[in-house]
Amino acid sequence: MLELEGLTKNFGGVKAVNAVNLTVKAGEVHGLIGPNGAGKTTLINLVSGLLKATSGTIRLDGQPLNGLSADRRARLGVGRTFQNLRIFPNLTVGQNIDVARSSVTDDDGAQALVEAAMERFDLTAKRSLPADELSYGHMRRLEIVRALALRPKILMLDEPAAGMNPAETEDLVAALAWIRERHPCSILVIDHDLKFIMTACDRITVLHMGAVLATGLPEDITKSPEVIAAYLGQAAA
Amino acid sequence: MSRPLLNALHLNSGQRSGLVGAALLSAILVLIGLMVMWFGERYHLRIVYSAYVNLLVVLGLQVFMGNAKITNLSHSAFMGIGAYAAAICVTPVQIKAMSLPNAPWGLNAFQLDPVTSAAIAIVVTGLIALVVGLLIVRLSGIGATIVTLALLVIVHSIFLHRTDIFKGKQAFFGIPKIFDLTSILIVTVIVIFVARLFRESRWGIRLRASSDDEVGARAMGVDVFRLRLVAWVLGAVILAVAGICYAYFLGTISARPFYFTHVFLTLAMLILGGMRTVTGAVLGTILISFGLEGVRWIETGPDFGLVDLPELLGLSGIALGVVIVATMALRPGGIMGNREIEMLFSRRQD
Repeated sequence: MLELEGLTKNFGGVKAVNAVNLTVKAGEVHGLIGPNGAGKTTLINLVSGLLKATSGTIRLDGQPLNGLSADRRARLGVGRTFQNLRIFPNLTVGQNIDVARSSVTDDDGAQALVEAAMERFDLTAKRSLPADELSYGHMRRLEIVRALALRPKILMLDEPAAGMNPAETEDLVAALAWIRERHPCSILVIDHDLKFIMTACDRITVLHMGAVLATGLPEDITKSPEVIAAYLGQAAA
Repeated sequence: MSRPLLNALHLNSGQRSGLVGAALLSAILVLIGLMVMWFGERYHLRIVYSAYVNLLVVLGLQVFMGNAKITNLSHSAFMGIGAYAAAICVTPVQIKAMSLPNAPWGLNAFQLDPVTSAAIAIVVTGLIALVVGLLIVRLSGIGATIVTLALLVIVHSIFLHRTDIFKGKQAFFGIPKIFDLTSILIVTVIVIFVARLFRESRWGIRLRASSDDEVGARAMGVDVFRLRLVAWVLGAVILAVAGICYAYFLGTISARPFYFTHVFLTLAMLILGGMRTVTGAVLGTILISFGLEGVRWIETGPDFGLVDLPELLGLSGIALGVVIVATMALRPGGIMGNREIEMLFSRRQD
């Protein structure tokens, strides 16, 4: 379970993330939406430790993460993907995944999870290929499998559906279901594709100007007047 | 080695091909050494020996630079530290009484056997590398490189001006000449395997991941500073070994060979061959070592009968510079790029 309390990040005078309270329950798929510049990616960077919070606390299964380095947090169970891919182009697909896997205790369970995930995301046959020879779609899949190889307690996906066609997005929904079945963890998903978020997520938080505008079930979020005014209305227009 | 044996060692495919690659490179290097021993003259032996010393330096450089992707310019200084440390320990007391009469801390009052001396030299170099490494690994890119440059200058100044210990520009003589081409062939083969297995090890792969994408590697749990430090110290240890081999063969060392000219020469070797691979380090060293002999011959202004070339002093320096510029412009990854030797044979089979 991931708990954020009063999480704040100032860039100079700008409050990119402003006193955010957010809980991603164990086993939950939680959507994070909001207009561009709402602070979604900043929030993920704060949780994964790539940015230092100005104030507030981050707890993973009760353990405070504030002050820990990014690599330490990854080893404690914070897994993530990147909106702008950050694969290791000069390593093979298998080595990309091994980097994450060797960060945590390697046992039969880890081995089985990685093998199954590679199969599910169509990477098994591409194991020995240099990662930069993958298609864009497969690079995105590699990012997900690599993060999964950390066996994270919280998996954060930054715009996993970006650039996907409707069929691929549908498969992504199924993939998330596969992940939660195979490796029960909390999942936090950022995306602009509302249809995808509404289908895939148990609950949704709307960020606006760095602050939480609303949190709730997908059907409640779509009905919230504030959300419609700030975000959905914009998308509909 | 047979496939079942390799499987029994629980090596992954990368480590298996690493062993094959290291064995191939070793075979080539041993073959060159044997040819020279059988057919060469004394003069050739010396040239090839010093080429192998340079190869050890380039391998030490590759371990850090190739895996962490941070340009190092201090490698010749670490070679010097290894050479001087071993020389001070191993040189007989009678000679030191003459050559280092004012040495502090009783440095001229003891002598050790060559093996102990080499071990001490390796430990001393490793410890110095550890201390400065704590600073260097926290910097990235240009910051780290500038610090290594400063380090080279500092170490050289100490070698030059603490004449009571290092004799500066004068020769530090009397080191027992116990190494020959066979000795350095054995050392080279060991270092080839160490460098290649480090590259394919868990540490090597994680470090290479961080050099591809530092942020991505941190997010995947890679402790980048710690791994850089491991590679930095391992590299320094290999450089110390190179220095020891140098001192144990020549019997005489001085400060000058551990400075810019040598830094530049070995850097050119690594860049030409390709710093990301051990094969690149070997190839670059072989090409430039042979190439420079040719250039030196032209420098003397040979007479071709019809054409009598004038003396062209300084041509070798120009040639090295041109090699670096041309490699950077035409093939920034060096000749080998990301390919190790065994991939040239089995690229599409597996």
